[in-house]
Amino acid sequence: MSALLEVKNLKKYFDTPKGPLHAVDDVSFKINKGETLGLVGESGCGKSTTGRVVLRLIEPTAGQILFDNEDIMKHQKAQIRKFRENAQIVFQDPFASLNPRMSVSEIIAEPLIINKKSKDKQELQKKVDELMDIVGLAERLAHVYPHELDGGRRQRIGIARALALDPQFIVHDEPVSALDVSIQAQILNLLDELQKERQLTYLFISHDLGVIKHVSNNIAVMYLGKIVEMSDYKSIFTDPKHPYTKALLSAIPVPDVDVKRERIILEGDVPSPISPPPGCRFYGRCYQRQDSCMGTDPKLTEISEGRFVACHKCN
Amino acid sequence: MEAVKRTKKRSQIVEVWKRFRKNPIAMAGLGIIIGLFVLAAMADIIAPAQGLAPGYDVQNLMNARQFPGDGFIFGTDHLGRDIFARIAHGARVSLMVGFIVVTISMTVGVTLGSIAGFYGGIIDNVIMRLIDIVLAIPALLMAIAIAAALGPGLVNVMIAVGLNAIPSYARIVRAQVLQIREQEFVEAARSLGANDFRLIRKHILPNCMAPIIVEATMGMAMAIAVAAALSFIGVGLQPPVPEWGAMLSDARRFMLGGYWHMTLFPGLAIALVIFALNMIGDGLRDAFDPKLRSATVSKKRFEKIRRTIAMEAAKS
Repeated sequence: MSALLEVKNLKKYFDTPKGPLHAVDDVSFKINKGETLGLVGESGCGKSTTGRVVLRLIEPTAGQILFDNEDIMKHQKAQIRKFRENAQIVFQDPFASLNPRMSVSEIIAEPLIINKKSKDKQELQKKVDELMDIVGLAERLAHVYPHELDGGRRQRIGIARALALDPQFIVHDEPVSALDVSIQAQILNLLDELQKERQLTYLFISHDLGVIKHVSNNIAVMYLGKIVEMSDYKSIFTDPKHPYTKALLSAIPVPDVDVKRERIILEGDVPSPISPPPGCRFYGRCYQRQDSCMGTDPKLTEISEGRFVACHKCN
Repeated sequence: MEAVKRTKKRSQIVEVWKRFRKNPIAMAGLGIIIGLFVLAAMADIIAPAQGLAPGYDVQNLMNARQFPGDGFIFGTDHLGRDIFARIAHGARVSLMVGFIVVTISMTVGVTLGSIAGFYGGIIDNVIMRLIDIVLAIPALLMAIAIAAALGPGLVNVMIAVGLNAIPSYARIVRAQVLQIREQEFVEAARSLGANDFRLIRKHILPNCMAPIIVEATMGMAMAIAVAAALSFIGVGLQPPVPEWGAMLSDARRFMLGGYWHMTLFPGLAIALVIFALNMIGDGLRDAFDPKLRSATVSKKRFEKIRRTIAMEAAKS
């Protein structure tokens, strides 16, 4: 399997009055064609920024992004446009990500119009109808406005829009976190079907471990701008290595009153990303810390086939 | 796409119209404006002074300064011209000035405001400081200065009035653009490859139309008032053009003589059109955004305010 997307040492620092905010700090990962990488972490850990930087919606501070073996970082404006035909994004909030002044069919037609993908109006109309059908939107909804629809249908519009240019790669930025649980399942199934049919590659960002487990081939856990653990979806749930992953997994509610969960309660708060602590970023809250953690920042290293952990204790 | 466009217009306008229709004052304003339009459009037909068209300019000193009554429902002025005919033709001038001024100043203001808001930084600073300079000069004073410098005439009046109106559009639009450009759907469009022009035109501006339309309605009232003021002090439209402000200016000299009708009717016309436009503007504001309604105080709240004031008064 060849990697469709490879990210190396990606960094994004935002300038703030108090100093640079380390949103994404030295992140590297690969996604194979047709697979899904789940990116999980708590609010503010840099998952969404990572998703946007990968598409160059936000300019990275440093790093390399290889898409289909091409260096995206070297692209100029016109090439980025071309690249975006291949790499799309589905946003978290289906209320904010759709223009309230445009009807459903106008929204879905927009990528086709911008990139001049159809010769005439009939062809455009046909393509829009097709896309609506693919994502399961009834034809009668073509001329209604987003505010008249529920969250699930709106998210389908967002997906249709992302599919319009027939991309190979889609970033899903928490696509279901704003939806009801029953609708989440529908959307996740739709995404799954689309992936199988079209050989799509996903970067799936979520804070919901249940969702991530369901959709991902590989999972990367982020903490304060860094990936702390990355492996296939099974072993991360059965045998987490990094103390943060363990704590995260222990927080998943078990739907059984008799089972007594062993919860790992972390102390303290996430340190400020503006001046992250030296050494391991998790040091202050870690229940397995040792002295060496304070001095040097643990590198993400492969401890066994396909399993990456950034922790001094595990190496 | 034809069908799509039609639905779009229907949905937005119908919703606003439904709410607008429920507002009796705004509807009255709309009625007045429509009436004035009809008057302006049919000025030649309904107001031929004694069968001679164009009637507003027919002088007949035999009929000078007649009070309203026989043959002249608003009476005649000092040159014996039919005041009603002149008001009807004056409506043409005023409405035209209002419309053209609003169209031009809105176009310029919206363009400047959206560029300033969208790009920010130095561009924003340069544009907005220029706007501040215009705002720093009292509006009427600047209009007088420009009109005086350019000389009298219809086009010059419109330039003088229009320049004054640009800042308010620019400011409103800039504020709106700053807010809307951060929304996710703008980012979504950008991720689809939309260029800046398309982002502004298709995504940002349609979402800030409401305050622009309200401002345009109010702006039209202001344009008519300032144009009348310029004509009144003699730097605007010149006789024999039947302009309401110029008519007032002429009639002023005869007020002490008891010829009340010569000032009353042109003055009333100006007041009426401005009143009507402001009512429409208020109505539109409420219709576009029912949440923003704050002008009216409920009875209960009024009672509460009254009681608080009474208590404060009793204390001291």
